[in-house]
Amino acid sequence: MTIAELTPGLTLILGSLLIPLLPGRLRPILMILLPLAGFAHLANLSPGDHGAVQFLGLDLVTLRVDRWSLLFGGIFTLAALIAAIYALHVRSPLQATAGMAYAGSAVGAVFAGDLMTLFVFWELTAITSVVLVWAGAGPNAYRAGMRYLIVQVASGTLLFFGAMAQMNATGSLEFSRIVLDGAGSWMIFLAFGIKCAFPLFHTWLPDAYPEASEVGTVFLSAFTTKLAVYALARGFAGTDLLIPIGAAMVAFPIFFALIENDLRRVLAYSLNNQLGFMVIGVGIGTELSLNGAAAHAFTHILYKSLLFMSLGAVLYRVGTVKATDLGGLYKSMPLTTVFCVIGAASISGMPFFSGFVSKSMILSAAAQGGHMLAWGVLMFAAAAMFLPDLKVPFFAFFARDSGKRCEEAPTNMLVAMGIAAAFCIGVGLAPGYLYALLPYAVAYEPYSASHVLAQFQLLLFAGLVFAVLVRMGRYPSDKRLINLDADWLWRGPGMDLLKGVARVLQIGRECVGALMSIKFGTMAGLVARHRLPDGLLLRSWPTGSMSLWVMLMLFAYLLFYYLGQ
Amino acid sequence: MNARTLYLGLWIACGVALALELLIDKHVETDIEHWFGFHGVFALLASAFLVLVASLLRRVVSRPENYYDDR
Repeated sequence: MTIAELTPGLTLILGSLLIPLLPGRLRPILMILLPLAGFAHLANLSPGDHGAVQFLGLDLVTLRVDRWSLLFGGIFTLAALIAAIYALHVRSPLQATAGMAYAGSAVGAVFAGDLMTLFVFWELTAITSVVLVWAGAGPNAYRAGMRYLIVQVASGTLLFFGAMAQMNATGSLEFSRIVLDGAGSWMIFLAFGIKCAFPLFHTWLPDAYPEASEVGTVFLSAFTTKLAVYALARGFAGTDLLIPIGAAMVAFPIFFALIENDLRRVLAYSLNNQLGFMVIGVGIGTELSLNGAAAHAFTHILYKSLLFMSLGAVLYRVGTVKATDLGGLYKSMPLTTVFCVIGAASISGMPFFSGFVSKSMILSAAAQGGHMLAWGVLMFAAAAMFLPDLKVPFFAFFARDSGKRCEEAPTNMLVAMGIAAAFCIGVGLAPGYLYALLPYAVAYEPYSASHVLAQFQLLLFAGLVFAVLVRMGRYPSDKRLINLDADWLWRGPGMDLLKGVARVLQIGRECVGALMSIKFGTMAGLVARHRLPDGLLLRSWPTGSMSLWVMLMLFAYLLFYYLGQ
Repeated sequence: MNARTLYLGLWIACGVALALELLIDKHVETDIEHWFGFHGVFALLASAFLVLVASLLRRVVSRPENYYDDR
């Protein structure tokens, strides 16, 4: 088996295991070499299905190379390179190892040709990425990480059982277009939806991302959700249901982003909003809309990581990213300020920046396909989202001077932000290079006088509303508050209910235990050992742990299979 | 450049963006976009709607920062 038969995900995953083994001064070299090796690996792939493996009688295709997988594999590797440079100042190898393994898992997943391989890498992204959430300081990061892990593993478990049901129904594990007509297909759809932050399943995103370390969020923002967009595009392109789901995802986060005080949480809500654009693109299902979704995933990864990097630098230097505590930082961090403004210009779709050339493809596809309601929501977002987008650079770097003074971001952070910013401007000025990489041939020209003027009108008038409100002191000023989201249901009343049930069970158990010890003595002890809840015979095993073990077995099998070739 | 100049500049830029519409040939994809100043007016209304609804939303969902810790 040649290297061209191995999934490029393994290059990053196996390489990441070497990071903690190296002495400190060699680690940065490896961290940069790994994504570069990933690029070399990608360049050596030839289109088609490769890496066929037999496992438990199943035919697996571990490497499927086509324009979709190459585009997403490429942008994931680029994101890994940028994040690796951004993380060079961190001494502990833990985050770099987890981050690189996470990137490798995402790359492995996009090259998966069957649902079981997809499941293995899908779960690996969950397990590796939670380390990055936990790397954020404090008990909040730990708790948010636990909630994040539960949701992510639930998504993997659904995918596992969905894949099994799908195989029973169709006799094949191939990961291709799936029709929503049976339990298996719905489970897979839901698994993708959870990772894609569909409305009501979205809360893990604004919950966990802002709690991760400054480096962790940069990694996190790139992979998980875009992997889900890729999976939806692969499996459910043209599924009408995705259009209203996407429209809801586009709309509701804007309101939350506007009133949120934690600026990284503002970015998390805006990430959710951007995912909605991609989901609508996938749902419309025409070549233009799918190209738009793919292009938007590409540009989005770069400008979103740029924005998270700039706020990460603020967090690293100042220790907070709350709008109420910041302001005037352009004096201390001029370069970071410029990079943040470039990120904000890109995300808001300013002409000549990257967001403009991808977002407008989806808007055009919606209009051309006659999806006027979706088009209206997208237009609303294109205009109104400018207010929260403006808020990030404005409250962090300008607004009233908070009096905080600090050093400029470390050099490695500036280099990473510089690379991402260069791509944001480069793609905006010369979109042809990106269009040439898209899954289908592109006959789309974003730059006409009419289109550019329309976009400037949208942004200028939205900016005017922002400026007037700030000047009049009527902007919904940021206060030291948090905002409840749908997760309140299970973090609030749901948790109370669970505690109540646990208390009742505990009391019942104590009563039974007391009765047993009085009446039956040692025999009761014997019975208890085997028959009580948690006894040897009655211990319940979570289905999640079963899927985890299957995943580990399969991964070990793949590893030995490759090593044996 | 101080904040006041920037603020005035923004008003002027909005005016120019509207005026330019008289000079260029409009190519748009929906009928409603043919209306003069559609994108500007739409952005004004959308932003105003956003701020109004978000202010109401804040009354419903905002809690002190230690809300979940104290539960």
